[in-house]
Amino acid sequence: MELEDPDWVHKLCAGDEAAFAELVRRYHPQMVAVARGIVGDSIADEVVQEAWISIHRNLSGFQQRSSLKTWVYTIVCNAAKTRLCKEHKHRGQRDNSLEPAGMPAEFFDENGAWREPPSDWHLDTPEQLLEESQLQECIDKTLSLLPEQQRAVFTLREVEQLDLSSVRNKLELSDSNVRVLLHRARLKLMQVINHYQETGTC
Amino acid sequence: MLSCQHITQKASDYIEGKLNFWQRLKFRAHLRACIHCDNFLRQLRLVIGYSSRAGHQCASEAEVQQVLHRIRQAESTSS
Ligand SMILES: [Zn+2]
Repeated sequence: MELEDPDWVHKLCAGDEAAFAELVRRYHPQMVAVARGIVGDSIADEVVQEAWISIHRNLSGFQQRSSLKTWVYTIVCNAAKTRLCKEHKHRGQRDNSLEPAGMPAEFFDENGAWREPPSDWHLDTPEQLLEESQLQECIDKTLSLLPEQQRAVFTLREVEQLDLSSVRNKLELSDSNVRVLLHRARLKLMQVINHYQETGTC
Repeated sequence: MLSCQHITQKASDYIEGKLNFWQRLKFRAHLRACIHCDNFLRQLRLVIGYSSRAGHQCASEAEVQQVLHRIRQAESTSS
């Protein structure tokens, strides 16, 4: 779903409340996921609410030099980082391990060659996968269980398709950290989809 | 030659264009020679294409109303 239609953005910035409600509907869950990656679960909701107030207040001055999406995430990430400073809080559990993330070791022999090669998938286009409502439930559940930072990276990169350097800046993570977290999240989802292809269940 | 395990570790870096020229060359040479890793990479791309859409969630009407309500509260106390 893209809300970057210029007419719509124009309405939004002119103070149209229905357009604003649409903006909230579109971004709120993703903003919470991103804020959690910075401040942790307990105050993320509050931070996002503050961000919404500031977005609402500043929309009339939104310069369309950056995309609305980038602007919205810059505000929520700045709100989260400010909050973190104010409370002298350390981030929630950080996943700083740079261990290379790959498939589990038992999939490979001692030379690193596949012992259990990937099985063929009968659903092999995104469209086919999107038709599976039970798979969607499995994905929702998996996402809700991802570590906070992994979820935040996944949300900004995969769902919102921001580029990697922008993800890194917004979350204040290192380049290699972002890449490892992203890869871990992808492999986790891959395993869920693989299991679903084999069994039809989560 | 890179191992299959190594390919699964670096697959996202490859897709994101984060490997240097030589790493890329070695990565591609492996994919040409190894049907399993080629399959793995195809599946990983499918995961990315699918989850970019499946991973998006919309707020419920109740959540939207709560956000709007708090904004009105904040704006009435500050003005
Ligand atoms: Zn291989």
